[in-house]
Formats: sequence, structure tokens, C-alpha cells
Amino acid sequence: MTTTSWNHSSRLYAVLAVCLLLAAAVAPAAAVSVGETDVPDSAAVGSEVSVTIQLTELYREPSLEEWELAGSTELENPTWTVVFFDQTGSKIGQESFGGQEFSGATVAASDDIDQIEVQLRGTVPSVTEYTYDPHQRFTAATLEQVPPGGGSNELASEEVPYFTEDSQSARSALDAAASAIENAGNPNEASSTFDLAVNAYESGNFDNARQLAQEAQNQAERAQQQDNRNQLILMGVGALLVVGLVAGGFLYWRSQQDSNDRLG
Amino acid sequence: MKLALIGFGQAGGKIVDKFVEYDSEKNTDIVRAAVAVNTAKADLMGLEHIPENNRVLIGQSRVKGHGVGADNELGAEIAEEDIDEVQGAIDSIPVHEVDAFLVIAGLGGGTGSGGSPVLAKHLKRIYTEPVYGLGILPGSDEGGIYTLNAARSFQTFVREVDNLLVFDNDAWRKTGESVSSGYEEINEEIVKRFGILFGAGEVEEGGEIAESVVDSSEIINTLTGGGVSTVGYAREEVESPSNNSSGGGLLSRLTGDDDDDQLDTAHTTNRITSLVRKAALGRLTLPCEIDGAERALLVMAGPPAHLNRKGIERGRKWLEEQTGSMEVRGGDYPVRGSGFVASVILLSGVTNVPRIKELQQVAIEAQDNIDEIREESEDNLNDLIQDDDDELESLF
Ligand SMILES: Nc1nc2c(ncn2[C@@H]2O[C@H](COP(=O)(O)OP(=O)(O)OP(=O)(O)O)[C@@H](O)[C@H]2O)c(=O)[nH]1
Ligand SMILES: [Mg+2]
Repeated sequence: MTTTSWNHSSRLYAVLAVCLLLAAAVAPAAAVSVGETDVPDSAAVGSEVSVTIQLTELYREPSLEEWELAGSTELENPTWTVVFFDQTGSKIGQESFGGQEFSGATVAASDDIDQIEVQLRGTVPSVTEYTYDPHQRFTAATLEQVPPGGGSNELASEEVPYFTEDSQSARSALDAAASAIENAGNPNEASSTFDLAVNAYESGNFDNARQLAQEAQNQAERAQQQDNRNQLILMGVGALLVVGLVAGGFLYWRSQQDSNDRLG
Repeated sequence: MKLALIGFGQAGGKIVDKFVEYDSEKNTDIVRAAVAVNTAKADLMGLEHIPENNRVLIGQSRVKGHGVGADNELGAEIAEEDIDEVQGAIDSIPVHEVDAFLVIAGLGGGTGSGGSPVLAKHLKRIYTEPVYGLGILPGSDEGGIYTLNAARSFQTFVREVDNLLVFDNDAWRKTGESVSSGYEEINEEIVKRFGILFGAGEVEEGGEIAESVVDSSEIINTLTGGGVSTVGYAREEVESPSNNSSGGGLLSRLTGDDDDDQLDTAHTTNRITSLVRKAALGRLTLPCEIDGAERALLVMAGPPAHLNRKGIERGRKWLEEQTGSMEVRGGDYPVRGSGFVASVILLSGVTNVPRIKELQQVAIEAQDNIDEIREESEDNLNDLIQDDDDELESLF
């Protein structure tokens, strides 16, 4: 990933963080806290992954004595397990669900439920849309709080970058090209070839993307070599200039010696 | 030898200007003071090296700063009238530090031609230092009036100075050259010759004074007695000691002890005698027969290692034979680090100068012509104005 896009997304995160802080200050947000979560950094299409999300502070803001937990996922053939703990941390029960959506796990203070752990397993779905930057993602899990009167509050949403072997190798080629281009100081030709490579990648044309990325990289490297060569030439020219100046100075000095010569 | 230079007229001013440049460039310390006098403001403004304060414009009430237009009688008149203004500039010269005055002028024009003898006369009356002249003769193609001016000025100038050094433009004119660039080169030649001659009497500071070194009094003595002088010059490139990378050369340079034995003595001697001949028989500033010159001075200039007494003595003897003079001086002018050996010969009191006779001849013819033409044109004018039978009467 290029530094530019990194900067881009980090700026985005900063904006999001500010928004969240503002939201927290203004409206009483869902106070149910997401505790430890365990989500893969990225996942290969077709592979089996598991996701764990803990929820705490279950009854504050809105102060509900009882509500229902619902969830959804894009994982295929998922199995959901909702485990309940009491205040001492002891497991006091569990419920299991199948299907990409579940609902109806009752969370009630009267049941002594103090903490919940949602465990999810499933198969990574195939990619619907490839994007290079940001990396294409799928939703691994979304958890919602459903109050007794209806409606819903989103509690957690986990998205995971996913890939196929092909897409990943094209992405590596793109990454390599991007860093070569950046090192070469973003030469025009290489940059536009790179854009073509990204287009190919995003339309799922990975062979093409790889080839174009490779070409962009070559162009960038050539440009940089040319740059280095130019720099060398410039340095050479500079050195020649210095030599010329010194020689000229010497000749001038000599000629001055001559013109100082009373008999010259 | 230290000089007070006074350039009169355009040519004189330009040559003095060049002299000042030479003096500072070559560090010769000859020019103690430099003054330019002219009736033409533009000529004075064209100078580059003479200090503004030392540029004297005379005759303003008569010619309004436009020059006298080759009328040297007017030039002389104005010089006489305005001599105090010239004197004003000379008053700023520390005359006691000066060995001689040198008045330089083109003799063919008006201002310098007429003014320089007047100034020389004035200086001689006031100062005890010798007053020399350097007169520039016009080219023979410049026309009758220039020749006439030069001939008359020459006569007067010789009479008023202690010695008149002469440079003849005619002998140095090159064909197919623009006049101004031609003068530029000619003036360099002039300054080179007189620079070496007068530089000889000015020993380098720190340099030990060998017996054989020419001094100011020898130059003055050669010029004393008056008359007309001419200068010969020749030079040859030599390996300068500074190009000599051998340890010996460096050491001798450091100790100032140039060892003659290092160079082939015979070769050095031969070079000197040949340079003496070339200078005397080559183109002189005023071409003339050297036989009959009353006095002569031989100056051998160059790096000490390339000068030797034997050569100079031989050259001096040869000059005695050639001139028939019993008063031939000779000496050297050590110029450390120079790439040349040069000989300069001053021939003083020359008498056999066909060029002067020719100049006078042409001048007389010109004068006659001018008178004739004037009479003729007066007649013609009368013919024109007067009606044929003198029937008309003038108004009043
Ligand atoms: N060697 C040499 N001769 C010059 C130079 N300029 C003029 N002449 C000669 O000097 C003569 C003219 O004298 P100028 O000095 O120009 O005249 P001037 O004294 O200024 O007098 P006016 O111009 O008549 O007021 C001519 O015969 C020229 O040949 C010069 O730069 N070098
Ligand atoms: Mg003039």
C-alpha cells in the first residue's frame, strides 16, 4: 500500500474518531461496551475463520433491564455461539444459532448476565467487488441491540479484508510497483501505467493487473536510473565546470602574469 | 626614473592615459603625476586612467570646449592665455619627487601642436627639472595642413625642450586598419618603448643595485645636450626563471642569486648583441640614419640570468662604431620573472633624418599652396561679387 493511501486512511480514521467523540458527547450512545475482540487481519476466500466479540456494561444507556441480541455475518455456513457470564466471570449459559442472521438471544439483568461472548465460525465468502485501496473487505460480524419496544442499536461491526490467491499476487505486484513509483518520485509514465493496473485489478483481471504493475515498476525503475544517470551527468558536468574554472583561473593568472610582465 | 607626464591635445592625452595604465599594470612606478590638457571637452572625457582633477580644459571662452580644429596658431594662443590653468594642475604635482617633465602631443593637430611648445617654455622657466617633449608626427597621408602644423610645431618644440623624443605615425601606419584601432596599437607600441626606457632608471625595491644597472642620471645625461631623439627596440622570448622547475632555478630565484653559469654564457651574449643590432637597425620611433647620433644609451632588460656584462659591453661597442659617437652608455634593467629579454636603444641628437626634411619640404609646399589658393579664391570671390562692369554700387 502506498504511503499516500496510508496517510489518506489515517486521516480518515482521525476524522472518524473526532466524529465519534462528538457523538459521545452529544447523544447518549449505546453504552454497551465492546470488550476483547478477536478478528483475523485478513482472510483467504473459502477459508474457515472464527471471530470472537465480548460485550460488557450491558444495561446502561439506554438503561434497559432486558434486551435481545441480534447479529449478522457475510461468512458462509456460519455457526454462532453466544456465551453468558455472571459478575464473577463464571459461565452461566450459552445459546447457538445458525444462518447469516440470528436474533432473539435474550440478555436480562435478572438472569445475572453481566458479560457476553459471541463466537462465530464460518467460511470466507467469495469477493463481490475488488478494490485496491482501500483493500476489499467483507463484514465478518455485526451485532445489534434490540430493545423490547423495537428498533435497534449497532453494537459492533467487524470488517475483514479478504482475497483470493490470484488477487493477492496481483496486489503484491501493485504494492511493489507503488513503492517503486514513489521511490522514483512519481514519474508520469509509470504512474499512469499503475492506474491502468489498478483498474485491471478492480475489474478482477489479475493477470493483466500483474503485467501492468510489473510494467509500471519497470518504468519507475528506469526513470529512476535515468534520474541517477542525469544526476551523475550533472555531477560530471559540475566537476568539469570546476576543472574548467580552475584551469581558466590558472590561464587567467598566467595571462595576468604576462600582462604584468614589463617586457611582455 | 620618475616623470611628470603632461598630455597636450587628443593624441597627447591618450598616450599619457595609456602610460598611466601601463605603469599601474606593470607596477613600474614611473608616472609620478599625469595631466591632460585640451581645448576639446569630449577628448578629456574619453580618458580612463588620468584622474579627473588632472584634466584641464582650456580656451573655453574662445572655442567653447570644441577644440581648435587643427589651427595650431590658435592652439598656441590659447595655451599662452590659459597657462595659469595648466599651472594650477601642475601645482598639485610634488615636483621635488620628479626627475623630469615629459610633454606629449600630436604635432599635426591644433591644440597639442600649438600648445605643447608654449607649455614646455613655461615649465622650463619655472622649474629646474629637465623638460622633455614627445612629439608625434602625422602620417604622410593626413594632408597638407597636418604636415604644415607638424613642421612648424616641431621646429618650435625642439627649441623649447631639453630634448625632443619623436614618434612618427607615418612609419607605424598599417594599411587597411581603422584609424582608431590603429592608434590603439600604435599607442601601445609607444608606451612599451618609452616605458622600458624610463623604467630602467627606476630600480625595483629590494633588488640589489648592480653597478651595471642603468640609472636615471644616465638617461638624463644621454638626453642632455638637446636635439632630437629616436628609440629602437627589439625583444626575444626566453625561458623565464619562473617556468624553470629545476631546483637550481628555484633556489637561485629564492636567494636572488642568479647564476649566469647555469645558462649558456655564449648563447646569452650572442642573444644580447643580436638584440642590440635588431633594435638599432630595425624600425625606430623616428626612422633615421643612426650614424651621426651624438649620444646613445643601450638598455638591456630581462631576467638577470639572461643578462650579462659581456653582451652589453659588446653591444655598446658596436653602437659606438655604428653611430661614431664617443658618448654611448649601456647598462641593464633587471626584470625578474619576465618571459623576455629586450633591448631599448635611445639615440639622442640625431641629425641625419630624411623624414624631417621631407616633412619640411611638404610643409613649405603646403604653405605656398595655401597662400596661393587663398589669393586665388579671394580673386574668385571678388569676381563673383563684383558685377562685370562695376555698375552696381554697394548700399553703404
Ligand atoms: N600616435 C597617435 N597619434 C594620434 C592619435 N590621435 C591623433 N594622433 C595624431 O595626432 C594628430 C592630431 O592631433 P590631435 O592630438 O588629434 O589634435 P589636438 O591636439 O587635439 O588638436 P585639435 O583636435 O585640432 O584641437 C594627427 O596627426 C594624428 O596622426 C593617437 O591616439 N595616437
Ligand atoms: Mg582634437
